[in-house]
Amino acid sequence: MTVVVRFILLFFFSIGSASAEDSKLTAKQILANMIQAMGALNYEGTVVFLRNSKLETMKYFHAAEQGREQERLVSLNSPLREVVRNGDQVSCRYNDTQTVVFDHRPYERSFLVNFSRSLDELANLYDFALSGEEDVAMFPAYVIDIRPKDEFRYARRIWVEKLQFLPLKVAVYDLSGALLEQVVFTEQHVKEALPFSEVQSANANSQSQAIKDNNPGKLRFIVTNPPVGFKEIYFARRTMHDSRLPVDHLLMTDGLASISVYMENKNPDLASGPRSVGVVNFYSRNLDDYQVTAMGEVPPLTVKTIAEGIGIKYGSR
Amino acid sequence: MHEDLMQKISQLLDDELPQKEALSLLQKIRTRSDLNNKMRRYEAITYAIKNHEMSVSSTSDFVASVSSRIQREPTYMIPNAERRVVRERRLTRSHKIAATAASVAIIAFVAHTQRHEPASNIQVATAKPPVKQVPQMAEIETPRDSYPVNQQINDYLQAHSSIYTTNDQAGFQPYAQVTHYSQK
Repeated sequence: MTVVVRFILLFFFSIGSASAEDSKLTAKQILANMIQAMGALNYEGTVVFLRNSKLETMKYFHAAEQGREQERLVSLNSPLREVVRNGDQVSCRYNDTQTVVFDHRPYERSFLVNFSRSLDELANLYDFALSGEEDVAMFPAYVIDIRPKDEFRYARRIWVEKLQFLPLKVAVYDLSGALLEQVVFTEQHVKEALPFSEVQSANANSQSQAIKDNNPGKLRFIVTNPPVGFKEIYFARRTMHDSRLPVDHLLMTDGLASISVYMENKNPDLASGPRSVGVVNFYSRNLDDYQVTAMGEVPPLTVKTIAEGIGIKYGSR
Repeated sequence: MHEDLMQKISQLLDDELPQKEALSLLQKIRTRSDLNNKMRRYEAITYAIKNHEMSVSSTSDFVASVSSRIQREPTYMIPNAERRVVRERRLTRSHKIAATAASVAIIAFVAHTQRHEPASNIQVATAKPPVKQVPQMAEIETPRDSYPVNQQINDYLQAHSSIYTTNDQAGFQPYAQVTHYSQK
């Protein structure tokens, strides 16, 4: 077969494939539609969180109006509480004590599933595949697999409702394929409009700052050679454990999985080495007078690699 | 069969093989009948050497054939005394020795398997897991904590994601970065 004939066959084969693909949506297109629908639609429902072998059932509300978004979770079981996300700010109100806690979380978008980078960027780290169609909460749904390209992150599967493109179910699997956690809607309703809940605004937080390109802030440490794709997105100096001593908190993400890195004075209560709490893996080690800990919903190897790549930047305060 | 594999089987039986290599070897033994036969033979030989009192057949299917004979033994639903009489009539001395050797071999094999196989290797039954299998080397033995964990871990979790705030118990100590007030 000559080169010319091969070229012609290949050309016609390409045209045929493209025509067939045009009639269906790809996994990436479905995810893009889902991300858009999650931000633009008004919807509510009952959602079950399965994490750390614990079930938590909550009412979920998402209100959107003129570019403004609010996400609300109301617990149905004790302790009764309401969690509200208004843009960057998250508040949690506990019914029994009438206590409200505010936090500034510019790096989170959703209680359900967070895509903090474009799908094009994520495509370097994960493969997207449409693996089938199933019914969830009586709605027909696309089943989208998000498979990592290396062993540094977990796989996810998302069930996306076929008409409105809202997520109905999100599951995370470990490296052996075992289910780690899932979020499932048992019912979901799209509305014309939903009211915004009034939450008293918190004072501006003066102790945190966002990390921008070329401006690493006042980090006292540096993470060298993290697993590919994990980038620093947020840095805060917090006071924790009632010790009134500052703890440096650096958040890194690959766009889907996130890892927190903490550095504080040595604490004998937290042993060095690996540990895990449910789906979250930790790795701590001592570094001069400090203890550094990397943790996140990623495999143990990932937090170990990051923790071992941490070095102190002497002279920075 | 490679010499080093036979060497490893020997080390495994003597409990001298490192855990990771033992796990890898046991996985191979499961899928390769020639290795399985080799290990059974080594077990029988080891047992014979250590006990200095009996000789066993060196044929590769010796243990398997004895096992199958035991399997074919009928179940006697009669009182023990009568059963003993029947068994004594049916079994020769060589059968008894063979059955003993087979039992020891099976027990030794099961004990090795249970000791070297980590819990993390157990496949949890999920519908069509979408992940690729990755090498065992990527797994790190991790101690698991249950709730409640210590305050430091709890604070780290809450700072990491608002999801852990939503799952937390009422009355937790908010970290100092947040603004905290009471409506009372």
